[in-house]
Amino acid sequence: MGFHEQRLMPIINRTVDSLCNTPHMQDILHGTMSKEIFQFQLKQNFNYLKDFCRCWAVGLARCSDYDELSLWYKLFKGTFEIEIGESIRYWCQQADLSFDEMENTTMAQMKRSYTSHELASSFEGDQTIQVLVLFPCTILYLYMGLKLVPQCTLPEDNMYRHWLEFYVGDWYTAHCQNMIRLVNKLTENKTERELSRILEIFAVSCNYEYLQWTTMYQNAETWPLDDIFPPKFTTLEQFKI
Amino acid sequence: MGFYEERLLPRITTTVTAEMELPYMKEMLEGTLPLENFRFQCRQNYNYLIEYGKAWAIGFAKCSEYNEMAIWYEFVKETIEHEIPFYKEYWQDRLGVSFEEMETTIMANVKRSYTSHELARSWEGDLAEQVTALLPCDLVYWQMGQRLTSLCTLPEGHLYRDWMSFYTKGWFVEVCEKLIRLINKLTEHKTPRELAKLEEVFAIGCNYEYLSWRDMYYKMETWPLDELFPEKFNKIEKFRI
Repeated sequence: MGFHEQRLMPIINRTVDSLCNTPHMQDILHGTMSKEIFQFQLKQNFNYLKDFCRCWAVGLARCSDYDELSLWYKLFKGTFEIEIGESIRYWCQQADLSFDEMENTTMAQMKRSYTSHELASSFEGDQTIQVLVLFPCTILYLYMGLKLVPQCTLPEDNMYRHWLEFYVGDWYTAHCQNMIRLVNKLTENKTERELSRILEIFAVSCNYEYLQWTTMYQNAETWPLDDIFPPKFTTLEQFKI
Repeated sequence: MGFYEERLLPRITTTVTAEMELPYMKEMLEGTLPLENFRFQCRQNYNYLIEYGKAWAIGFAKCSEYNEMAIWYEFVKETIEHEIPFYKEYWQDRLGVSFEEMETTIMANVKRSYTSHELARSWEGDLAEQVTALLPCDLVYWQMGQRLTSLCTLPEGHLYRDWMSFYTKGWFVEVCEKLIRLINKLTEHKTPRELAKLEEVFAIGCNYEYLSWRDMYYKMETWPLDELFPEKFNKIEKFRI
């Protein structure tokens, strides 16, 4: 029994129960979501994943020997090649989005708040904090998938079913198990004071996850003063060498 | 004509010309360099590359769009999947240096000074500064490899000849050419003041390269008070999950 089983599971279960009951998640489960809302979710999530991947790079830069480096590299690589890669290769096409539409999206308030929390914690904390701030994003989706996939009655080739099934697939399951072992290893010798700080950071991320499903995705919420944003810098000039 | 051709290439040529005069290079060309020195060089360089890979990860963490991320990702990947394994596997076999020996080497004074410079500039600067801090390592080796190989009369398959020609091979040349395009792009709109700062960063790196060959590798110099160091931390416990 490690930190994951003893201290995180109750928080994860509590969050997953709430997540599964949000109207947005129910719309995915029953395939009743409008395409526009799903496109909004995919565009926001693509931009989220880029920041999430940068946090792994910050963790990678904190490694102190080859064993650590190869482990962080594996998590970094999986995020970039599988998660970001699938967004571009598969989801763009499924939801009729172009790469440019995804890339030129301004990150919504809730996503920006969430990734700023992840990046700031990664920059200021040690490797344990860097992993734990990202852990909700990974682990909640595994348990959510495990709970919802058996309830899903959509046909095999339905895009919402595919979205749910990704999180119970072989790659994702192995990725999560790897992270669980890492979380348990990193928290082994921490003091109660340190664990409490870690739990707070974890709880903040869980709350951001919940908030994005309750308000941001459902209402396609961006910023109160959306009109003061300039055109996305990527529309002005492509970075090419 | 970009920043590389105008400002960096002359500095590279000066550095390599000075390096070519060093006893270390002469002995390597003649094949008389003691194997012990070469082993020392490889052990130190292996540890150097881990820090070098981390500095690319810091750059990745500073990227702001997918096109940038895809370029920086390649440099992280190239270092971790190509250069580090080359030292781990190829030199390990040819020199009879175990992975354990490579991994538990304490980085010598000049190497630590060099990588601290690279990591500090990477954390504190922008992408141009991060790339410039790492550039001497690739570009100085490229020119040095070309000049050494053209003068080398050692037979094919000789350890030192293989080492030199590694830095003239296709994939390494491609990495260097990509780096040149990248630094020219990143410096396109910099002010003279900003460029001068980058040139200073570059000159520091070139000097560390020169010092590595003149003193550290040749004299197998580590630290003046070597006995102060504890046992390497990864000898005490391996990081395993």
